[in-house]
This record gives sequence, C-alpha cells and structure tokens, in this order.
Amino acid sequence: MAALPDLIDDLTAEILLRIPPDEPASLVRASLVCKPWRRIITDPAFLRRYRAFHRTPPMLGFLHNVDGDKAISSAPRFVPTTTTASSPFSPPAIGSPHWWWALDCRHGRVLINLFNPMELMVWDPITGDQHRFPVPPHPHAFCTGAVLCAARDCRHLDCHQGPFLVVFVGSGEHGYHYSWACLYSSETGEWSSKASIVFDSYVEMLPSLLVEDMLFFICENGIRILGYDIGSHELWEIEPPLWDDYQGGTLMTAEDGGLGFATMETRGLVLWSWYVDDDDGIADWEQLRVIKLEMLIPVDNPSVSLDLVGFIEGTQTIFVSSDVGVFAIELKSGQVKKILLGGGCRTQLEYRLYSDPSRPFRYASVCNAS
Amino acid sequence: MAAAAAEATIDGGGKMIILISADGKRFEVTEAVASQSQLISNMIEDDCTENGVRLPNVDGDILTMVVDYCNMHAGDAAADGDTTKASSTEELKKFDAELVQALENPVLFKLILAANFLNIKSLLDMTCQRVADMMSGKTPEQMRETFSIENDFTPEEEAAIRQENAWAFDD
Repeated sequence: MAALPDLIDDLTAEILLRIPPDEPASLVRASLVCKPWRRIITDPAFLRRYRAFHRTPPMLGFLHNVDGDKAISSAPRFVPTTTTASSPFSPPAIGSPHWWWALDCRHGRVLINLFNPMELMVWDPITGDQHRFPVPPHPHAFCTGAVLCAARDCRHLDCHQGPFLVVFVGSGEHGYHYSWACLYSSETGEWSSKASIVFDSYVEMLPSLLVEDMLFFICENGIRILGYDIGSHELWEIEPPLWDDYQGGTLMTAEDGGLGFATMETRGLVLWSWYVDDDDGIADWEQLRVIKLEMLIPVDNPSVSLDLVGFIEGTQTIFVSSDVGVFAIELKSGQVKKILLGGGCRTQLEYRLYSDPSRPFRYASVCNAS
Repeated sequence: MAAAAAEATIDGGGKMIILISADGKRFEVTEAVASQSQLISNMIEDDCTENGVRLPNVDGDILTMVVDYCNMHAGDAAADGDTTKASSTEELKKFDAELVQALENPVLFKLILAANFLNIKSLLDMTCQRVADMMSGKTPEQMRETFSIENDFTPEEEAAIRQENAWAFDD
C-alpha cells in the first residue's frame, strides 16, 4: 500500500511546493514532520522554486500610517492579515514615543521617515534589521521617498539583505518653486548631489511607483506627477490625464508594465496608460478602460463618494474606500476583497512575503499601497 | 472500464491503442485520449504502440481512473476540435473535484505515482494540490498521522526547531 513516505523525494517536493503561501505557518509546520521533509523544504533550490511557483507573495499585513496628532493613540500601526492567530512579524522597534511615517515599501524593505530626530530608517520586517541615516541636508517643506534593491537584474525574491538605494525628494521651501532629489546608496552610506527641477507643486508622503529604472511620485493630491530617472539622476514633470470631474487619482502599473494612472470619475474608475509615439516622440495618456464600481463595491450611503486609496505595485490591485470600509480590487480577476481596516485610513503600505523555514524570518518581496 | 473504452470509440479521434495494466487489464483508447500522457505520446511518435502499451507500474483500478480522467479531458487537449463533444469547463471542474475528493490517501498516492510515471501534468498538478491542501491548518503531529509518517527527529532537535519558529506553533 502506498503511503506518502513511499513517494520518491521528487514527488514529495511536488506536493510541498503546492502548500498555499498565504498560511506561512503551514510550510514551517510541514518542515517538522520528518527529516526528509525538512531537507526538502529548507533546500534553497526548493525555496526558489516555491517563490517562482506562487509568483505573487501572499498579502500578510499592512503598515498603517496615522496622522501626527493621533500618533500615540491606539490606532494599529502594523496590522497582520494572516488568518492564524500568530504572525512571524512584529512592528518596527522604533523607540518611544515617536511619530513615524512609512514612506515606501519595496523588495523586502520598508522606508520609514522618523521625525524626531529627523532621520530615515530602512527596516526589514522579517529580520527586524534597521538601517538609520540622516535625511539629505537640503531645505524642504514637503518630502517623500522610495526604497529599492540596488542589484541590477535581480528578481527580488531573496535580496532583502543585500544593498539598497533610497531616493529622497523634497519640495517647496521658502517660496522657491522647485523640487529636488538625492540618491542614497547603502554601499557607500552617502547621499548623491542634488538633482533639481523648477516645479510649481509639491510631493506627497505617498508610496512611489517603480517602472523599470524610473520612479514616479504623486504630487498635490494627484494633480501632478514627478518622475525621477535613477540612471541619469534627473527629475521631470508629467501632467496626469486631464478629466472634468476630478475626484482623485493614483499612480499604477499599466497593463503593459509601463506607467499608468487611475482616476475616479462619476462614470467609474478609469485606467490610463502613458505611451510615447514611436514616430514623433510625443507622449500622452491613453484611456484603457472604465470599471463601474457600483457593481463591485457596496455602499451604505450612495451620496458618499468612493475614494481612491492607492495601488499595489506588481499585483495589479487598486484600493478604494467607501463609507463601509476599504476594498481591494484585483484588476486582472475583477475580484473584490474587503480589507479588515476601519475607514479613514489614508495611507497603507502592504507587505507581501514568503516565510522561510530554513531561517526563521526571511522573505521575498514587499509591495505597497498608498 | 468498458464504458470508458466505448466512449473513446464514439469520440473518434483516429487510431485506437491498447493500454495494459500491471494486472493484465486492457483498455482501448483513442490516440488523442492517450496522448495526454507525455510518455504514451512519445511512444506513439516512435511507432511502438502496435502490440499494446504495457504499464507495469500501474494497477488496473488506478488505470481505470486515469483513463476516465483522460477521456473526460480529451476535449481541452484537442486543439480547435469539435467543441460539441468536449466537456464544458464546469463539468470538468466537477468531475475533477469528485475524482480526488472521494479517494482514500493510499489510492490518491497511487494516482500521483501513476500521473508522474505516465507524465500527465494536469493530473499530477491536481492530485498533488489535493494532498497539499490537506496540510492546511494541521500541526506536525496531525500531518504525520494523516500521511502515516514516522517522526525521526530526536526530542532535542524537535524542540530546537520549534523554538526557532515559535510563531508558527502557537495554537
């Protein structure tokens, strides 16, 4: 009679590979069943296969930014969404009492702005490692930032302990209508010189969007976009798609992987793609599709408008809030999920990761939503 | 078995070949149906199915399930074929779910071995996923019990791993 141990190792691996990643404890528990299983599960080659097989890491929680005056309130700052009672992840150990703001979240790292003293922190949610460094010494009234893996040609499945880059953008000090950006490398531990642009707007503390070698930042409630080219260290400005009944917009990855934008209009959620004409080099927005939200999102009071909360890079998921809560819309499948957070949260960063039984807390990638 | 063979004949799809199980049971199927097995597909290409295909690793009762599965799925494998004969997606889903849900573990494992030996990717996928899903929410002890696995860790080794991953073992 065939029992599971009689299956050859290859087949046991085929089975273990299919353990759903949204319950990280299951894989860890399976690694304690017997030594052959543990050998398979802790093999780096198996873990690479596991990540490749499941592609998108499961959503395991949120970082929830809270306004300064409520910073010491009981509002949760770090919200695990695993269904097991326990979670391998704990909030960043920042020290007390601090107002901090998670600016960005990518490739297994979270960029946090600490306000007192004024410094930045790159935090690894799995290891708990913190890397703190001062903000660039340039005046600014508004700021935002981005964090990303520094390795070229990296698939970002297991790079979170490697070198990283941080881009910090400042806007609008002393009535000067300009913005600037500096690039920090964890390898040198230094900021680059300043790249500046004349820019009559200001950046918002919302997560960035990475498209190839370019970062995009949302400005002034979505009415402007600032682009930063990491390779050439240059800033430029982009007008979001124009529309009549403006109710907010968010950066998103277009279906072709390029720069996209989503706007909330009375006719629904409108998705746009930025394209450059090959012949004349002229770039413009192209409307891709309109999603009728009233079919997807329940509301108690129809006169209360839906708000566009943000987009999760790499997963084609848009967040929309209504008077009954925040909803995640997966654009590819059209699936809608209610996110277990109260209303009124303006900025959330979502982390997605794989657990790794060979080392207690190691993971693959983090995505964000604003 | 007989029903499966008859269905295959009605299905058309060209030449028939004979599959012979370890215990000597014979199954007549069309080449189109049998080709879902990469192993048999290669044998058909090499023209060595004339005298029937002997499958010494697969018992008759397991091969019955495999043949039923292949008959059911012949529609999605046949490119641009006559869609009226292909089973609908819902029908297939229902059939697949019923096939794996009903099986006792030892039979399910035999089916995994057969799907692997015959190299039928979709069947291997489905059966492995069924076993993986059974692990959800179980403690290591429950997994050992479900799959009749002996614990070969020493108490010290087990305690060390538990401590390292304490979060995963809080109930």
